[in-house]
Amino acid sequence: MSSTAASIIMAVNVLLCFVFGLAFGIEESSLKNVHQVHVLFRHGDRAPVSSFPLAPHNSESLWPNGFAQLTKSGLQRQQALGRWFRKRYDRLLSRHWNASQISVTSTSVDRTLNSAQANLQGLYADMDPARRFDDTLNWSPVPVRTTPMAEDRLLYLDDWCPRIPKEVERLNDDPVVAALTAQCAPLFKLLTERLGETVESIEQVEFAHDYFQILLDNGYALLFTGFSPLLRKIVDDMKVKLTNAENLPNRSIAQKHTSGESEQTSSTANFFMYSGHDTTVAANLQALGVYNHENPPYAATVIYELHVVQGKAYVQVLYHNESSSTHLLTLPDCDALCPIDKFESLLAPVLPTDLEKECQVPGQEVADTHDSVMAGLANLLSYGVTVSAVLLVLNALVSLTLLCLVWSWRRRLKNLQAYTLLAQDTS
Amino acid sequence: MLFHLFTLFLAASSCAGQILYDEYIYTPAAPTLQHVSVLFRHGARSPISTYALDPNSHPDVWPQGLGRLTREGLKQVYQLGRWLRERYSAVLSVAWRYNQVVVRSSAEDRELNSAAALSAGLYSEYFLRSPNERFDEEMPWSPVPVHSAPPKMDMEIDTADSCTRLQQIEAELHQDASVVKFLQSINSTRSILAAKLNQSFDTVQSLSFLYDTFRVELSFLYDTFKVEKENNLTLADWAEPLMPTLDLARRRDFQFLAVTHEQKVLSAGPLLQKIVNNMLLKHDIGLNAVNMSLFAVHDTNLAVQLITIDNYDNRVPDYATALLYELHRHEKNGTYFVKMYYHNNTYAQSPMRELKLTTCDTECLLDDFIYHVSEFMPKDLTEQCQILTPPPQPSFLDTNRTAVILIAPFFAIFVSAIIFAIASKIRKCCCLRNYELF
Repeated sequence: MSSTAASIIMAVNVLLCFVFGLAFGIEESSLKNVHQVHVLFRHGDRAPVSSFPLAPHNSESLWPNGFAQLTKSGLQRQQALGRWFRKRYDRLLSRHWNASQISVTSTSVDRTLNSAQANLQGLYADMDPARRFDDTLNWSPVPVRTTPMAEDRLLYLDDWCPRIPKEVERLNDDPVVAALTAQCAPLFKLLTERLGETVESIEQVEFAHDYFQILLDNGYALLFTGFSPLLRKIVDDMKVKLTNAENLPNRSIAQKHTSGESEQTSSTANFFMYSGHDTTVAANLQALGVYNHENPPYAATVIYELHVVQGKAYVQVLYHNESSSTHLLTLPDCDALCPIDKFESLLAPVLPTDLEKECQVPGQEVADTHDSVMAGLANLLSYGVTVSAVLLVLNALVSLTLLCLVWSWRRRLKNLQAYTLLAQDTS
Repeated sequence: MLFHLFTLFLAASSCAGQILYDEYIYTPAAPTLQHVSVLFRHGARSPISTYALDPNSHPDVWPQGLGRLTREGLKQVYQLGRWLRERYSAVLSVAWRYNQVVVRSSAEDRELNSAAALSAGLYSEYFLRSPNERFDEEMPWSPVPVHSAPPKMDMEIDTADSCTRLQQIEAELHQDASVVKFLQSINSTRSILAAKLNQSFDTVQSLSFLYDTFRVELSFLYDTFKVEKENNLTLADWAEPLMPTLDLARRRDFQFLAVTHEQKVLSAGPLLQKIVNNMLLKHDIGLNAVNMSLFAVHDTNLAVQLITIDNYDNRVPDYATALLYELHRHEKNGTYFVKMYYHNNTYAQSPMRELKLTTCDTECLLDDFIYHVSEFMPKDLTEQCQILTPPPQPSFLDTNRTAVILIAPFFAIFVSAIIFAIASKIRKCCCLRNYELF
């Protein structure tokens, strides 16, 4: 009995090994076809964002780097992720930073900026000791670009896009959310007592995880899903890469000679790194339609690989949420290796075409048109006076012309008369 | 004359590319220090551009690419970070803390990397001493966040790309008669260049081309030669004799960055405003305001600041030089005052220089300092950065609208009267003719 069980387990194991081996093999061979990669990750482990007056252990001094900042293990996790990127994408990146190969963008928040830096240290950890600028440092800086929060149109839209706070308001006014809020009253009361700070709405509940979970479980899409400028950029960059590279395979570590100016517009890099938050990652997964409703853990990463197989371009999406495990994400209605055109058309509903316009709060557009109509009217009025004056002058001119015409007509009549008379004479 | 000799000497030492770190003179800031804003130039870099036929333009010569920090450059800013630690250790915690030090950089690679390397130097000592505090035991480093804004959006530290009015003023300035005169005065150099670079410097009449010639070709060419010499590369044989003239062009180029008051407001003003705001914050909030603000900037930004506070010695800022705005609090009477220094990190020979507003003491009371620099603060930067278009020529009707409105009716009546008169006359004639015909 036990031996049969054991043999079955054995058989299953062999089968599993075979299947995994096969899967592994496929993945590995297809890595040779990768020409461009976009990785979006959440920052590493951090201290609490803030504390409450009565909460236990609420002193900021408990956290060596302060509230909301990365902890030591957060830096380590990012470094490990960087090393993992190196292992997987070594072929695409030289051992030393080369500006034409990699582009790094972060939200303008200390913990994401530092995550990107620690990650990059791991990515370039194999640098030649002879090229160190300081003997003690196995590190050389790599530029991490960012945009002030109020202007961010790629990774963190909340401050710039006026529609987002409106959407939050709308969600809070929704009967289902209102009912939930009512249901949560005892919790608010408890939290208010225990935390020493008035908690009266779901948003105020410090556990944002629960907040999002509740909304999602009730079939509410998270914010941002209306448009993902990041996905737009990823697809566009991949298309540029494809059109710019005729002999793709040989270009992977080719050195391009460019100056430091306007490097950020280069779409031909091999590796794009985006350092964001749990919300950034969740929104991105949501936009893809593959979100598992689990709050993205620290350093959770979404990876977009551009594969070229027999001259055809594909996008493969992976989710890497522990340093050891990686999941293939398959878009609904597409294969794991999704042809880039199909990828784009499937995602068309979430790819913004005109972000400025799509970020307008619906009511305000009407106001704008109203304003323009009023402005037009005012213009018209002010010109009315001028127009009437012009009309008067025109009137005068026409009269003068008429006068001249009549005058000459009269003269001509006279002359004609003369002629006729002459004609009569000759006949 | 003596001063010129001195600068020549410095230039000569820069050619040797020798940096003597051991000779650093560490001067701790006075214990009265409350806050410091540090504006520093990036470290040594590769040339911004190479020219056609440049013997040193091969990609292998500059493996990091053009306009990027060299290994030497990273060392310089790292060292500047260590120097700042020595000077300001009284107001800095051993490891980075977000409420003490804020790093802001212009968006180019060399500034971003300089900011990161300088921060590494600022905190190296602690991680060197205590391996247990490192996140990677093998390395005395931990990242410090470097904030920046894309060049077109940067309204804080470098407005060269974001402020269109600034570009307009500069373009206007370069059409100035003095520029034309200067270009004429260096005609012999320009004709040599024209021959060697196979580019015409003289034949095109357009003044905008003169502007390009002036800035890009002469000033940048000097920089390219200088950088190549710093890196012990052999210049084209005709290049060396032209260096003094090209140096003149570069200095001229920098002077033009802040000639008019408006230029100072638009280019130096935003950063000056930020510095003053930081001081006021420290003055008002005290302990909870940051102690140190670091700004990674270009040589142009540094020059513009120095020109605006009237302390520019016509010497283009060297690599890793730092302008320090210190806020102090008097120990006895508690008054706040500002001290300014210019620290040249690249060449240890040149001592730290104390700066002073012409209208104030070296220890300038905070209120007085603000009073004296407030004329350079932009009121509404976005508004002031709009390109000035000449006002549309008002039409005759617009300017004389009242006259037209007054005269028009009389004119109309007059015309109508004439028409009436003529019409009646015609009628008369016609009748007469009819009468005649019959």
